[in-house]
Amino acid sequence: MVKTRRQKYVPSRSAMVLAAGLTLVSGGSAFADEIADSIRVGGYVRGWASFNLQDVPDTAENDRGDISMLRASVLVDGSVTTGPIDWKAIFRADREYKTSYVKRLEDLTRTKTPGGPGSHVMDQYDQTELREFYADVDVGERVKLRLGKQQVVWGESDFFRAMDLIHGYDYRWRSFLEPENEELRKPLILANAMIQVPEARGALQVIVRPALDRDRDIGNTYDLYGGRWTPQTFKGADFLNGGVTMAYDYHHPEGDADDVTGGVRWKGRAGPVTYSLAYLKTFNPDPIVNSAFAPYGKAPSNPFGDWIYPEIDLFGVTASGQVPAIDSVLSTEIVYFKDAPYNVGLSIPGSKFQPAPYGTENTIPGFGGVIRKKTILSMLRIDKPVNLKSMLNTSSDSLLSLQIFDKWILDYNDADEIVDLAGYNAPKDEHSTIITGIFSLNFAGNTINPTLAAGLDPWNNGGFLIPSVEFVRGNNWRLRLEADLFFSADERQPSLTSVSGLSEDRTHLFGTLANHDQFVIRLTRQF
Amino acid sequence: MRKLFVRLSAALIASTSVIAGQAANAAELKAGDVINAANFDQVKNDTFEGHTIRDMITDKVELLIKNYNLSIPLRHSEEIPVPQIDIENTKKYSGDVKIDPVTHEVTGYKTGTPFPDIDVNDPLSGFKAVWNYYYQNTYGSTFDGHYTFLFIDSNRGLDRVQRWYTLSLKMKGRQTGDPVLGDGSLVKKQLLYAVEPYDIKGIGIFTVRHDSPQLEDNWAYVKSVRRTRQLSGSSWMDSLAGSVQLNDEYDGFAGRPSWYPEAKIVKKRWILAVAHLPGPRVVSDAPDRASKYPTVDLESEPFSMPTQKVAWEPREVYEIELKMPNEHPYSKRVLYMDVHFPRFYQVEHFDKAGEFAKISFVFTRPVKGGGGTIGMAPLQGIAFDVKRQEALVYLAEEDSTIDRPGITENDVTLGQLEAAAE
Repeated sequence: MVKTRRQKYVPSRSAMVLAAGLTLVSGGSAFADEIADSIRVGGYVRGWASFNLQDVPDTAENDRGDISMLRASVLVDGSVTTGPIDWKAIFRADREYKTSYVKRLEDLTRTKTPGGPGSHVMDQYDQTELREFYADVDVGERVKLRLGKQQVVWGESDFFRAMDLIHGYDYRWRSFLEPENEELRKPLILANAMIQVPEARGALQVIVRPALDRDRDIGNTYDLYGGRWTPQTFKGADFLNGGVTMAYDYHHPEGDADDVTGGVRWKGRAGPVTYSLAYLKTFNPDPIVNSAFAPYGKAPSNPFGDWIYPEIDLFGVTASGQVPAIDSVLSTEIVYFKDAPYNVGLSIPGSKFQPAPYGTENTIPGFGGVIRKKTILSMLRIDKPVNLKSMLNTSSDSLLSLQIFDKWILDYNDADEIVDLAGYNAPKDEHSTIITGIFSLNFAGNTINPTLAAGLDPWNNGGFLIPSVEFVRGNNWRLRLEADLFFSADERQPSLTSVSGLSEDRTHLFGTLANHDQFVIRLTRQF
Repeated sequence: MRKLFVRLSAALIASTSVIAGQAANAAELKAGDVINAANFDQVKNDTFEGHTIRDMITDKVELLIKNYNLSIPLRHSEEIPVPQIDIENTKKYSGDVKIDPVTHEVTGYKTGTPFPDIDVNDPLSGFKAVWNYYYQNTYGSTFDGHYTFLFIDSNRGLDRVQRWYTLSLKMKGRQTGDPVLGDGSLVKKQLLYAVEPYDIKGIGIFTVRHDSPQLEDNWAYVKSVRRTRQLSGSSWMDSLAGSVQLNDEYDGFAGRPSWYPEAKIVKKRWILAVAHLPGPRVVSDAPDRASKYPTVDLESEPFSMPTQKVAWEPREVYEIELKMPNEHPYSKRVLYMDVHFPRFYQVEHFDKAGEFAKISFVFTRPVKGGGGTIGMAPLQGIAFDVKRQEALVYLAEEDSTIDRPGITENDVTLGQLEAAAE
């Protein structure tokens, strides 16, 4: 089997400097020369500035126009070949400047729930880590092994994830809005084997997570500490303040980071259709409340409860194919969760999770316990090229992509009192549906690239609109301008001290993002 | 009447004398002479290897010489022998090949030249010539290596550089071993990986070309989201990465002939072409840009013409006029293909108004591949859009080769695209 990635590459200038150094140190042996010739180094220096477009009602000040994020990152992506092994390492360092808005939220947290991570919020944004480090080796003609800290993505869905659940995402610093989701995905230490079966026109992939990761590497990480992406009405409330509110429990009996997880996927082609079948045992992507008032599996350690990531089993199928008659590609993804966990307990009169008198802590929505439900996530998408060259003088075909994404709780029962989001009293519907669309264009030889992304929750009248444009200058400079606009018919107003505020029952996902509109400038210098 | 006859005779004798005088004064240029804007009008009636310069330069190339700094150093032509294996394969298999006079589809092809005997008077000769290129091409059974793409603004200079790795595998038209791989339903499979710059690094594209009017199947691995997506095959008419080159122009012509409504051979003729391109074309550790890309003149407008290191030689070609389908950005192309083997040297593109819009060159040379096969691969290409005043130049790097030992069909699959994903 030819090693297509192991051809002799012409190295970049930075790689040549490293190579020269290596040769100098080694005394110029042939082996060292071969290694030196294979070194490739690239990466970027990137900076962001985001500006609030709205006042945030959680704070007393007018936050409109304030800088909500001033951030810089350096990423170095290196690879080298030593004999039969290709090595890859990606290192990233992130630093932020504490803007007045960030300080305002930190001070608010120090007032309301001091002592937790929200009171030292820069620790959440400033990171230096070896994001990925793995070795690739071919075993025979058919098998490729990738061992180490890496990212593996299954599934077909954009924005929302059905099968892309091997990893969690870090939503703390930019929520879900960073277009390159590889920057948000949390790499894991995996054994990843890809076995080619050309006779069946496909390949089998086996993933094993041997549980060597840091606890915090599993599951999605949200701003639960009262910072800039904390949902509206909870800014300044640190729900990761162990001993005061809550903390993560990574070793719950139903979700233990020390448990080995993994999965298997077959991907192949049958005629004009590309399909995959997969099984995955992983952690629930979102943390679930193990409530102190209705413990689940284990008594939590913190006054309000613990955040846990229960393990889940899922079976998924994807398919995609060209439909020439409509010049489009259709894709679908259907994932069955044997036992997806949800929080229960609505703050309503007569709630079965309200044994105590109304007005006590037992009325916090979602803190009535956990229920497991059979669930199906499904997605249907159409991608269509649109030729606007004559009309708009675009330089390439434009792309229109429309996707509908649905979560269906199979044995749904109103009486279960499943909440959509812990801390919010809106019940979860049997079907939670989101429609998204992306329209991207290219001008001036693909150096000016505007995109419009939109999402709609049709049942709850909420959504988002993200217009953006990227400017490409030469090989090295990229400038991106973006507006993140959220809308919702319903949003809970800040009244955390008032129990009645918790009974508001119409705020769903996009309502929690109310008043988070912002304008973002991102400048990148690649190398 | 007699006076008229005398006057006509005198005029005829006079004009013949002028022509004879011009012929007598025409010089035979020598190898190393350079045709450029300063001397074109002086040398256009001269000859080289017995062919008049003016006859070997199309009016579009003349436009480039006079207005866009194209210089043409001359070299003597060299015979490029057709590999014996191709001759044998053609003899064995071409008899089974048929072309439908209505659909222009071909059936029965396995390997070799499908239509070895082209009669320019045959109304299907244009299609036959283009099918010869589509199926056989000249780069052996596999071609792989790195390419550098230069995106050029003709007024400002080099704008961007991209580097890609390509691995192309023929499923039909193979020179050695089984002439056909698989069930015979595919023509070619190809993998492409982006290497530079950083924001495209890791992007991979897998293409399957069917041996039918069916559109190609394409998948792209998008590194920024670490996922593979299937793409529409209708992008064959779209631009390559926003450049002036369209996806059906790579290596001169990359579409399926039956997708085009009309193809006719206008005539056989001679042109000056680059069939022995010198190397290297990309010198990675060069101290400056000029020496990094020694065969591209990046220092003088329009920044995309070949340097004088690139010499041109007379080649006998078919001049083929190809009409584009209605939905295509162009109305027609004029292609110039070597008569001895299916390789395009030059393509002229005309927009919907019928005006000259762009010219493409493909520079090549015989290369020896693994197993001793000889082929001719696209080593340098230029697409110069005179209306947009932009160009794309692609350069095969020194690791490019044909028939690299060890490449099998199983190396060019969707699974390999995903396995190699970074």
